[in-house]
Amino acid sequence: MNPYLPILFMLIIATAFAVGALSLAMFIGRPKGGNERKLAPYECGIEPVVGEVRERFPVKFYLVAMLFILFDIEVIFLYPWAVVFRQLQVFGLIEMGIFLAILLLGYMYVWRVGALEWQ
Amino acid sequence: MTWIPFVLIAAVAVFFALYLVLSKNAVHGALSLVLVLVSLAIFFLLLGAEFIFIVQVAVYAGAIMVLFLFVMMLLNVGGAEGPLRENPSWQLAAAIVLGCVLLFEAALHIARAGEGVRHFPQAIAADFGSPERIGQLLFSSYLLPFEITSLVLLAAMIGAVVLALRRFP
Amino acid sequence: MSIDLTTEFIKQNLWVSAPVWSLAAAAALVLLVGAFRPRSTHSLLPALGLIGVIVSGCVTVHASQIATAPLGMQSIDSFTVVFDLIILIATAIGIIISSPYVNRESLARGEYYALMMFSSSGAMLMGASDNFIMMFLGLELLSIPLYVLSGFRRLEGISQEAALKYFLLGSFASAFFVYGTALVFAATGTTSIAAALAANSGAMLTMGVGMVLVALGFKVALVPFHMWTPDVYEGAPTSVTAFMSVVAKAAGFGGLARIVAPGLSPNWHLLLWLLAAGTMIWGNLIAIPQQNIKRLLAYSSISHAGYILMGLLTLSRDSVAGVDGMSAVLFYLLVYTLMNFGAFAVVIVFAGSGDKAEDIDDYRGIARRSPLLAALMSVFLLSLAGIPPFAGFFGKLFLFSAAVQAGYPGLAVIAVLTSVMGVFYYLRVTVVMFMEEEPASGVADKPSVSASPTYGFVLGALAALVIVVGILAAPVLNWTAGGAESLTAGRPAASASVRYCALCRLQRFISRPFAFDCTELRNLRYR
Repeated sequence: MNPYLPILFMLIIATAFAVGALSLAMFIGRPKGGNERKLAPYECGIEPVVGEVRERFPVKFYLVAMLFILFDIEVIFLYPWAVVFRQLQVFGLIEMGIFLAILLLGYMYVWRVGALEWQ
Repeated sequence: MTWIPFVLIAAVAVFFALYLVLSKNAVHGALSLVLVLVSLAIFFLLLGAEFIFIVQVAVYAGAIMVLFLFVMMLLNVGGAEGPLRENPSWQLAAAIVLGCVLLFEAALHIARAGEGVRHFPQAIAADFGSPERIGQLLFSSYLLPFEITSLVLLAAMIGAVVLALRRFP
Repeated sequence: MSIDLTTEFIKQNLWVSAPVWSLAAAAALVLLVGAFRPRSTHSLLPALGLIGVIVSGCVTVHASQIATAPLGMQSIDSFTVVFDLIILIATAIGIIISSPYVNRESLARGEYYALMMFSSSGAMLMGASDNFIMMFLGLELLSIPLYVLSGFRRLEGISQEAALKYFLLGSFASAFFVYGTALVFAATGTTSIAAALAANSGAMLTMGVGMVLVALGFKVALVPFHMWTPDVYEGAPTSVTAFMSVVAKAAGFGGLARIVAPGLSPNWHLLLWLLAAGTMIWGNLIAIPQQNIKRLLAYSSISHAGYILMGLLTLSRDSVAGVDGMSAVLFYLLVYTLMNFGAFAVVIVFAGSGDKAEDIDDYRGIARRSPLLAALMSVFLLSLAGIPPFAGFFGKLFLFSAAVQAGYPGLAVIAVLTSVMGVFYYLRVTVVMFMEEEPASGVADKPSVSASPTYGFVLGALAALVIVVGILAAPVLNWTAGGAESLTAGRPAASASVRYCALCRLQRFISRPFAFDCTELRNLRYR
């Protein structure tokens, strides 16, 4: 049996659930006769904020995204390492230790200069 | 039977690729790019390259798309805006001609079933490209490149902070 | 497959990459000290960086005596040692020249020096690579810090523009490198440079190697790939421009040498010939009408890339021509480091705070106010132009005679003619400084430009070296010949007939007062 078959089943079930839930909501809870109030975005019962929805993001989001990518790439290397960890024995631990230590250094730097602080 | 998933995924990939190019809304375009990238990832899975599949999903469809979206919001790329500037008409003509040449070339190669294309000189092992094989190579013969990668990442990290951090302590 | 990680393997790996690691470790230390220690201690950072560079030099020499077995990724042969030491010398000069500049323009200090040193470790990696993957990592480790350094004055539009241009075009070049490597792997099943080039040539391999050459050609600014150079050189902080004009160029040529040395197929030689000729002609031609001193030096650096590529081309011939040519190339890289850093340092001093005065017009009559600085600038420019008795002359002489000896007389003729063109624009700056009158408006209120003690020391030392290396060319050339020898080990030996050893004659002529004996060197080559 194809080892990916369970994943296919899961995908089908997930899709079916999403489609089912949405269509059920459409059939049962369809708003009858919408007016302007009903079409307005819901914001905890207070008056919706007027103006352009798309606002300029501050540049710090970009910094977070960059750091996310870099650490994401780091994590990718852990994946084949985990697969062959038993074959590598203690050397593997040292190899990955050096790799992570260098990135930890970067993390310390990023933390220290305050790139992770929001204010 | 292996062609069924391929055709399905290929249809999804082509559809969203077209949507990506034709959509006027940048954010919609970015979201359809996610689907294109995921379909490509499934192609890699069909080819038996599990590691590249994971990389494609985690790094490209995940992290790099996040960066795309953030940059769009940073630049405040609006919704249905016109193109930045009109492309000259010769560009369209050249694109069509070159596209046809590429299509013809690809069709020719498929029709000739790769004859004349230089074949990979070594026999490909059954576990070629599996995460286990990649791990074995990466942590023995390719140990040095692996460790140097961390230096490249560190340099990039410093660079991101230097260019984007507003206030240094 | 099981993994056989022996202690010996780990040890070899460690030593073979020790030069890169030692410099990177020093860079990391500088970074952390900059981040964790208070601002008042930051003036010690350049000293810390210099200590790191010196330690790295010692480690390089020591490691070369230990690591032997080829690992297929990197090698630490005599070429690596000579190349690494040239890079380290350039890094040391770069750090010293930067320190007053970084203070003057109040740039973030820890990050600046750390990025500079990371970039150098990438350069050292490129010159030591035996594998396309390793060379790519070296290229990235060299380039990423350089992109950031170009944009280091991040509030100024021109610096941002330089960084963005360099980054976009540079990552395009990197993509070429990766795609080329992929094609080479697809064609031959290996990413080892020597093994891939030894495989039977095919269209796919040719495409792959071509793309890799394009990427390296971009880094060293050969002519069809030079478009970024003037804008980036002008916009980047001047100390960074000086650093990248030397280190990125040396790194690119180190990488090219590693690819050309195992033997490219003869078709490539014509292409490299054309690239060298085009670079020399175009670089020198476009330098003539330049009005900005940094742009002028940018085009000058393009033309020098052409001269150096001409020397590299000799590697295509037998081992004797290859050793002569490569030793001339390494010698030239060293001399170029000295004179180019010197010229840029004077530019920094003259430009004043905020890098204001960088047009050649601003240099009018400047010799009245600061004759010593103007004289030093003239020394560096005349050396760049290749006028005796400065080191630049001997560098060019060795390159040209090596090209003639290797059977490229046409290229050598082009080189001589374009050098004459070069003399014109280098001399123009000197003439402007000494002969022309200062603009009448601000004679009275302009103070004389004076160099800080650091610059005084550096400029004096560099000018002295430019003269001394020229006079003592023979021992230096002997040193670089040792480095070139390991690179040409795989080349076919020279034919049995006695060859006219132009370099040996020259060396003997130059070094007669110093009783330097070159027969030993000669025996070495014919072995």
